[in-house]
Amino acid sequence: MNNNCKNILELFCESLDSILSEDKLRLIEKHISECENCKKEFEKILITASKLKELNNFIESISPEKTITLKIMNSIKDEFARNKSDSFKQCLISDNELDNISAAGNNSITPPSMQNRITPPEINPSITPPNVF
Amino acid sequence: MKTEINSDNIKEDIEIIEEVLKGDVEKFETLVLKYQTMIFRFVLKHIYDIDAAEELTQEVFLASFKCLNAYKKNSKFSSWLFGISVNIIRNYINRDLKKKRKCVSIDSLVKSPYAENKILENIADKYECKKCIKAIKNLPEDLREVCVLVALEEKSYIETGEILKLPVGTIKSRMFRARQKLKDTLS
Repeated sequence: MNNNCKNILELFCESLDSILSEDKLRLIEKHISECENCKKEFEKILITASKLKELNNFIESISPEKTITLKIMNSIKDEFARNKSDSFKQCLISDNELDNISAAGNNSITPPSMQNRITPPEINPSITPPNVF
Repeated sequence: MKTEINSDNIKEDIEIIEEVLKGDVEKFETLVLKYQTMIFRFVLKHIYDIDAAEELTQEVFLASFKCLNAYKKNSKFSSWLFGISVNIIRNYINRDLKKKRKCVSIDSLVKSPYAENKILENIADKYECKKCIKAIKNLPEDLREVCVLVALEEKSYIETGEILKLPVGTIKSRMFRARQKLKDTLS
């Protein structure tokens, strides 16, 4: 596979995930009409994409047990009760503070000055999203 | 059906989060009801075990509650939940791998038929679906995460980048590599 074929193949894969410009689409079409190898590759990728779609449809038909909401809320209420008197209470912010944050144009619900004390110490940093810490 | 996210939805979520942060814990249930199925299915697309997916879904919501104050209003709450889910899934897979390596007990050798029925590879009707599950499970972690978000969850490269904290170029190239690997196995 030469570099041109690889670039077109990348573009073709991109076209499955996002909307490409007319120019790029024409480039792909032109290449397919001229390169038999790439045409075969594209067909294989399309087969794979349709299988992934089929798998997705299968998973989207599965739902969690109805009791899951109750289980989640019970664990959350337990957690809240455990921390009511200390860390979680500290992280609650007043309306005034919220207004001040908005006025300052800060997008964060929590004022930066509170970041250290509001994070409950028992949270494992590895389970928080990358943007949190 | 996937939960449609629009600006009204985001505003609604932020209002609920503010209420929860003021101490109204019951309000959190609205968010749980709205996103639990979405997160459960997202987890399932990584681990293909219904029981474990339910447990991890609970972990995701508990972790999100614990650090709710760190949620930034400028991102979608659903994306934030996806970010937490990715970390919890990584921990689970690493834990599971370690367990498999270290402990081969009699219990693990005698497989419960109930547990077997909760593994997607066993209940998927079609052979092709089973093959697809196996192929995704065999992808390296970095490619699998991108593949599930882009090809299954149909997230844009930009949103996937936000969730995984990676540049769009990295997402694009990982997705290309994932498609190449899957193509070799599935076509």
